[in-house]
Amino acid sequence: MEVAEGIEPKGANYLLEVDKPLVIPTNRKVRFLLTANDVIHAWWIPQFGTKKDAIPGYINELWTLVEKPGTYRGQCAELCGKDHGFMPIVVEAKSPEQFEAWLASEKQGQAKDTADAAREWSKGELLTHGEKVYANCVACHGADGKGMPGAFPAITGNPVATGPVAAHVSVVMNGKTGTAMQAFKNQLSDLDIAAVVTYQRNALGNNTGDIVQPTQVNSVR
Amino acid sequence: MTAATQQPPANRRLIFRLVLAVFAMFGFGFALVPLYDVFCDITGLNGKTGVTDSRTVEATPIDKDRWVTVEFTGNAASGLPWEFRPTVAKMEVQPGALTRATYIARNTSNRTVVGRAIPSVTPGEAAAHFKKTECFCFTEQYLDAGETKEMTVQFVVEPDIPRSVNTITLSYAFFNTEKFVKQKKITAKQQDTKLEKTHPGKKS
Amino acid sequence: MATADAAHHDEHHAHPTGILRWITTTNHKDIGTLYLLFSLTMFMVGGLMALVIRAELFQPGLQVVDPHFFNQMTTMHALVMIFGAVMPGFVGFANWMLPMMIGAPDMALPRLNNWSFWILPFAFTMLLSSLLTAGGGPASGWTLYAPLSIQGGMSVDMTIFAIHMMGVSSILGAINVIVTIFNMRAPGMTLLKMPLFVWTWLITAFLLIAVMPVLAGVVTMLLTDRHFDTAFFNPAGGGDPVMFQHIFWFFGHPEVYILILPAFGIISEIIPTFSRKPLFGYTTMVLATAGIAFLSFIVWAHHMFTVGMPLAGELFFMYSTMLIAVPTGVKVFNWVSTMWRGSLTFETPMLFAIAVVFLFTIGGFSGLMLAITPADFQYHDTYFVVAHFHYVLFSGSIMAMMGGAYYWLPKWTGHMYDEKLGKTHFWLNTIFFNITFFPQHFLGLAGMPRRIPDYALQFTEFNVISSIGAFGLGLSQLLFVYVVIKCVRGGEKASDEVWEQPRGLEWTVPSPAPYHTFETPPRVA
Repeated sequence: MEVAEGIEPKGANYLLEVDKPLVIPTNRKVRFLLTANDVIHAWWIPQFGTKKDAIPGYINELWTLVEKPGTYRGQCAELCGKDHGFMPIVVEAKSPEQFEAWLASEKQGQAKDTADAAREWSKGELLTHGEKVYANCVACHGADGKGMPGAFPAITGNPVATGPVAAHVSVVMNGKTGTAMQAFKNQLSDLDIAAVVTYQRNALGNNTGDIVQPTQVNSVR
Repeated sequence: MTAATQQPPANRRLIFRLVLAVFAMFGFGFALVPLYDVFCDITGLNGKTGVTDSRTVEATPIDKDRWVTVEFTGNAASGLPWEFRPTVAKMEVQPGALTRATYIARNTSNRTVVGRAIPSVTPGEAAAHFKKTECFCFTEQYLDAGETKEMTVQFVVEPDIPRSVNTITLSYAFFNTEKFVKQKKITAKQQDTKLEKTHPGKKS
Repeated sequence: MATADAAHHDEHHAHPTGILRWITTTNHKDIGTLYLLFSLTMFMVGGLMALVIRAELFQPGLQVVDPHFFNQMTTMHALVMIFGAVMPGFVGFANWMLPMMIGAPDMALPRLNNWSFWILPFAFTMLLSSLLTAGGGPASGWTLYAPLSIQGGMSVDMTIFAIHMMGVSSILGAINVIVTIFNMRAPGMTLLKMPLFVWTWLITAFLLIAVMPVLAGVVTMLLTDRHFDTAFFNPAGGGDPVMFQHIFWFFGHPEVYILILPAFGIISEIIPTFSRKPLFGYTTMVLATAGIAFLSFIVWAHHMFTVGMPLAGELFFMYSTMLIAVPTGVKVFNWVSTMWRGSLTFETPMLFAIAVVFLFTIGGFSGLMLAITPADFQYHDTYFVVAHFHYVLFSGSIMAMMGGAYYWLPKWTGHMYDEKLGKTHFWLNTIFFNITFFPQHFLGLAGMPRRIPDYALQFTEFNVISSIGAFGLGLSQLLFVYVVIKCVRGGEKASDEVWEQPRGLEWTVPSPAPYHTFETPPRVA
């Protein structure tokens, strides 16, 4: 948000950067399967010359064959709500050898994540990490947790964020039907969810003192 | 003294016909709903799949020379606190052969939740040739708190499926359907709703 | 006919004055004026919203409004312009001109006429006040695609009711037009002698009757999905969000022609007058209009190629869409042929008419590009589409209405408008229009999606140009308002014919046209 409002300078790929690009091999036909969780989106990389809608409840496919290794950037192309302009797509095309190498290193990384999720985290660690993860929530609930009255509820003093922990975790993981609150369980790790719930309960004007551990989140996955 | 009573007969007739046309078109808008379903069933638009019965399947010869890959995927939509995934990612099938696949669903919440799976098949031209004889998506599914259940789908890929199709993907989106199901049925729970045999719902 | 006249005569005696005159009026000229003023007001309101959008897009980043309000602006801009500016504007022209063109004393159903206008201010008060509700106005785009529109707040319900009211207003207006044209023509005014504006409106009225009820139906389904647990569009209950798009565009595509056919009619009146020749190919013009209207019912899915459909469907909708270029081409050919070897003069209405022919054709060609299914996969939902539909809607419908206003203003007011200011308005308007929208083609081709409040840096330059153009375009409309006001208040006296030997019954009555015209029907040779 600081970048959008001009407080921080914009990088060359402003609005077109993601945390985790989609990695595909070059010179191989790649088939994409698209679906959506809440509303209709559209998957579009201009250089691939095609786009397809992602429709909740239904599955759509499109394919591509990338010849040149490199980074390809695109955006969601179907109005999907307030943050429609902030849904970048990045595809990293790697040569077959590099792709194999990447695959192997990913598998190792996954093992480390599992170890991370298994250990006990301190409140301080969770709050620090949770503040970072909260970036996912800022667009609607605001950096100060005040939300946008009428459209998006506040986190501060919200009965979900101050009530039972299990219900809070469930809302973050599964979203809330019929509202803009989406499900984050496929997007965030156990650690992320535990941290952000801990953060929401102990910052932004809330002070419940509850700590949520990654293992707790994992048990309800 | 209404405007209509003063109108010459020619006007009145014409107005009557036009008003009739307006109501007819309003009705037509709603008639498009069932028409759309029929259209989807015929063309496989939107990956809607059809239903058949096992007798028809037994009667169709199996195409022994051809293998088609069927991929399975599934997800629980937001608002449904379930974990839901296929037990195998993909399998090779022969057109005409009745095949069985399973999915695993687990209720991660602490209450009974009712959901319904919506099937979808891609590519579209395969959808019209992908038929199910039995599916957990025909009825509402009830899971108690923490309950895990294996769910079965039995399907056949019809032998007249276009040659160009080598890979078919079957996807299920599981939705929370509490608001569509009467509350007392949820408390009465599973007894009568355990996977009844082929009782095709409106959409399947 | 006799009774219609009798009904008309007793209005002579008691004329309410002041505001009551306008509220109770059943006179087609009064109601036409009301419609036109309403349209102009909505044009300004919708224009202001467009300027909010362009101000935000002047630079990358979020400077002026937040994304949620930005979406409300794009949604409202479209709804206000389509249902508030263009449609009522054309109904205003129809009210003023249809009876005078066919030699009728008034519209066939004067009280219904009063009704169909007075519904509109209430509908738009409801629509615009939804911006003040908690959570703001509708933000799901004017197309109200489910399931996004199902999530919205109370403002979506208010929008749905407002659409119902506008629909009723349009349907009543359409019924009135059809009955007037079929039953009120002067003796000798056979169908194939009617001016082309009358023909295009007759066909438009049939389109309205065919599709406005479908729109009413689909937003009703949306309403019951939102509040009564139906599942037309909710996959959880066995519905399908894509079905919303099918039904919506079954209304939506004929709607596009509702917005353009009367403009074709106005252009077909203006060009012969200033070419001093009769319209070339009158019969083919009528047939082409009917052809476009028919085709509009079988092309709707070209708005939704990216949802995925069978190859046969893609081919069908691609070819049927391309087919529309044929009757449209016939029209453009006829306009050009009318001008061919005419003794042309370039008064403001003619300038607008020629600009419409030229710029609308650009919009038509970009439409052809969009019709090609595989190319549409790339263009869909980008700024290319935004540029396309502004070339057909602004430089088609809106500029045709401006041309029509200049053309008939002397007949309406009895004064000539200020030709110099009129031409200034034309040039400012047309130049700034192109500065605003032409760069948007490039933005779309470069990959900028539509309906985004912020964009990647490579799109900056063209957006800056477009925003500057938009403010110029907005400001130049103030000149239009000034010219109209000046013309109403005074100016050089207009002759009855106004222009050099124009064709049409409206030029046989005095200028300004008296409150009641053709009480004894003229005889058309």
